[in-house]
Amino acid sequence: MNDLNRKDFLKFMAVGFVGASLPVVLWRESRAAQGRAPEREDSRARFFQNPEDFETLEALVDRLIPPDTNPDGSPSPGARTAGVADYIDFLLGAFASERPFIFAGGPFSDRNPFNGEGQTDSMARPLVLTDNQRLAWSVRILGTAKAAERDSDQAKIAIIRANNKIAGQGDANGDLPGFQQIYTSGIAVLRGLEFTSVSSVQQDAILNDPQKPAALATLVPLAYAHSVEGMYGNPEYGGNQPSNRTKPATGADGGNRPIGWQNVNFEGDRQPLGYTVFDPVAGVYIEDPNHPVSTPNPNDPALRGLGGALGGAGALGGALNALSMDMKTALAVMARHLSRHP
Amino acid sequence: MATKSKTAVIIGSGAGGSMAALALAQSGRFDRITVLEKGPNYYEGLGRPNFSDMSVAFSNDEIKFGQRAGSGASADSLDDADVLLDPRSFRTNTSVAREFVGEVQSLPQLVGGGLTHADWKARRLRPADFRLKTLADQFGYNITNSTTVDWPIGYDDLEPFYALAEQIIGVQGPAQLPAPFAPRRSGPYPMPPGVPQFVAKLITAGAEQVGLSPFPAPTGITSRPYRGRPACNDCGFDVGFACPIGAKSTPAVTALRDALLTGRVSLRPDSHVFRLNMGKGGREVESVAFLDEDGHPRELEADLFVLAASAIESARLCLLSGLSNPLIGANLMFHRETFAIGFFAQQLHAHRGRASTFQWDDFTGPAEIADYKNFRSGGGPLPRGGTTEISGGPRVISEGQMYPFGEAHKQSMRASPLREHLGILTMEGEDLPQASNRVDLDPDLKDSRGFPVARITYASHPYELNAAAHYQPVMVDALNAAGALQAIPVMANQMSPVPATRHIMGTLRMGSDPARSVTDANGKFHDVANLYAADGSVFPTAGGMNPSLTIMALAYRLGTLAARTV
Repeated sequence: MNDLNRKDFLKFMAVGFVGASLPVVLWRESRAAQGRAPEREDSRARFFQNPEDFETLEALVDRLIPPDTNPDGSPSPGARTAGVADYIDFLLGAFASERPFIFAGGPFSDRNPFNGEGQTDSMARPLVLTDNQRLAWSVRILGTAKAAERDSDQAKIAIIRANNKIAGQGDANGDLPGFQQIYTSGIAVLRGLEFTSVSSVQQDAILNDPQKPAALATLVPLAYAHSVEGMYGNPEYGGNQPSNRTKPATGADGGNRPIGWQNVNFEGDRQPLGYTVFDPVAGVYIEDPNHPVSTPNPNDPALRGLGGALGGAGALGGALNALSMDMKTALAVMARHLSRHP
Repeated sequence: MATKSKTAVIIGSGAGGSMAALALAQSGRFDRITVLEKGPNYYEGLGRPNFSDMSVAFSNDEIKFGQRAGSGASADSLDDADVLLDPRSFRTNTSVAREFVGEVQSLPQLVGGGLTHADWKARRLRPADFRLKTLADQFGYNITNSTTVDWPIGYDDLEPFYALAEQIIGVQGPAQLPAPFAPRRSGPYPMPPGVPQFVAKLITAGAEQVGLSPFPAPTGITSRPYRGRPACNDCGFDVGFACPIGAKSTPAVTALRDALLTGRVSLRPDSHVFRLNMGKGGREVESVAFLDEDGHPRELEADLFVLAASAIESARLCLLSGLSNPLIGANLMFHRETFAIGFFAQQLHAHRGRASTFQWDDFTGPAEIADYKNFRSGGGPLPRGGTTEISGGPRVISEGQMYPFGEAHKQSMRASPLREHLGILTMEGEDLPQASNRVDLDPDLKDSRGFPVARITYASHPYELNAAAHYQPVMVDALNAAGALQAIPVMANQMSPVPATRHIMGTLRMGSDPARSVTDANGKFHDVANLYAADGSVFPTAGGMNPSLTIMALAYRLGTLAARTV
């Protein structure tokens, strides 16, 4: 990108551009805007009532995604600091709210304001669920045995049970446990092992034990999948909080980025700013110089020669160290992912 | 013919249903056209004259679109059919009742249909693609054990409708596509290509070195302000995500919106059609029966009915309604996806920009039959594969879930071998129609409303397996030439026989012979006076191109022709 383009993009970012591509559209919350006033985060229903259960959950997620240190010596916080346990607690407690927070609203957060848009966080309020979404998600979270909320749910859950029996899923009645039961049982096992009192080395040994109790073996993959969501998902879901929680989270160029995104150098949600601006007068696209679409990352270590993160061809030094997934494994994992059933 | 105004019901609001609604509305023959959509409506004010008065709840949100984990399926995002409520079953042959239950080719279920979260390559089939039987006979393609036929219409019949569809929805594309793979066009794409992805530029250079001809992908996304919609700003939340600013040329914000603006079309979301009520001994549809948003059964009469619920669901509805043509559900086709993955030293940052900005057609075969005399190798014809798209690795949550937990997770996420360093090629290989590949009703499984679900019986034909095997090494060569440190081929569905592509075709194939097809050259059922199909179900063969633009062109053509019959 040349200097003119760089200057232009920065100008667009600062003041917007009358007649540029975006301002024609004023998308606002639709379903999110219906009904009651926004729920404040601290009023959001939680699942875990016992502080020791919640502390065990925090200890668990903090070993699934642990704190460590960046190559430059700066700290890289783990799941506990990022609020991942809150993410899980809110998900499990979602149906105790009148308006369950399963899907965040839209179209924009307030992290990437541009040209007068994206000034308020419309993701902070959940979408109103359709009847089907409500039923499916209450089955996932509460389990088939507890999910029925309305009379019409009973017949539908009976069909889900019957299908499960045909498919060989669930127990003898076709009942499936919900996330709540899986977490409750698994955390009971961890508490029995005094998980919060032992060293992180011992904690890792418990989680990696191939002979671990069934309830824990069921919990770990689910809790890991949820932890990754909570670590790198939008902050409105309760995880991926910024370091300073008393201030709003910022976009990629701000000073209070969500921890998960900062850790992995991912810009996060990007609307309405985007990465490019179409200039209708000149008839050309202008790219964000710091986060280009069509050119190499300006700070890519690989561009700095042999000292780069990945070293030269064949030699994978630097950031691809012994602990991280190597090239061969990465290709194999991606191959498995692409060739599996969705 | 009477001049009295007529009524029509369209089942499904995706690519085909939206375009059929527009064509019927513009014909002037109908004063009441009702579009019934099973899923919810996330567009508020879709029918308002001013585009900026519309609002939508889509957003850059990887949790909302696809990653709420733990359900045992991926179809649990905002806009998908939920696998708990709408499962399907799958088997590879008829010796067992089913081998798999769950998500089988689920398309998003909402106003606007599957294109809402597709990356939406807007591709035309070419003259040769409409005449596969002729081509095979003339040049020696092995199509034994298939029901390969020529289409009852040709490229020239459809070209004006391709051009119209591209204008209605807004497609970006290059001034010229490479010969001899491109068909003739009556006019240019409405918009020029937008900003290319870095990964696409990198791999395009390698592909050119091995003799391939990549080009900017014709895509249903704006690159200029277009009819009130903004130019795409390349936020990167493309494939798998619904667009929050209206830059993606989805059926809802284009054809369906135009249709609603005529004042003759009404949209009924959350309406689950479960039966066509037949009259005159099964030769006419009298009404559709559906469950409304409160689950109450209702009926709606009309003069004309259009099925546009996807090749699987339209066939299922025919079967639920007792339509008797034994070919209903047969000749189901998908696109077999073949992959190659390369590992690059550079950060590819493919999370920015549109999801795949370059592709090549070199594996699809020439556009014109005459040119196949040069499309040969070793005394035989070169296989016909499919268009091949260049893209990057997974998004951040998807990536994280593929690493092991613990300290390795943190180290891997920093180095990001999956998200930042993988370039991925995907070939959409041409499938052949086979009588044994089909949709029927599962004898036991039901959806949550109590109706039998679709069962898919499917196995690949050697035609597409051979093409995949033939072109994989070329894909790997392209990645190596682009500078990949290592590259490997991946056969689709190595781990599972359930096809993963969302390109669904066949099941109500069109043809001129009523004994060998379900619908005629206009998409009208041979044996039902007022019933049409306007989705991928009517494809007699698959071609090696993304099917949606062809669905739209056929649907508009069908709407135009159907209007003359009432």
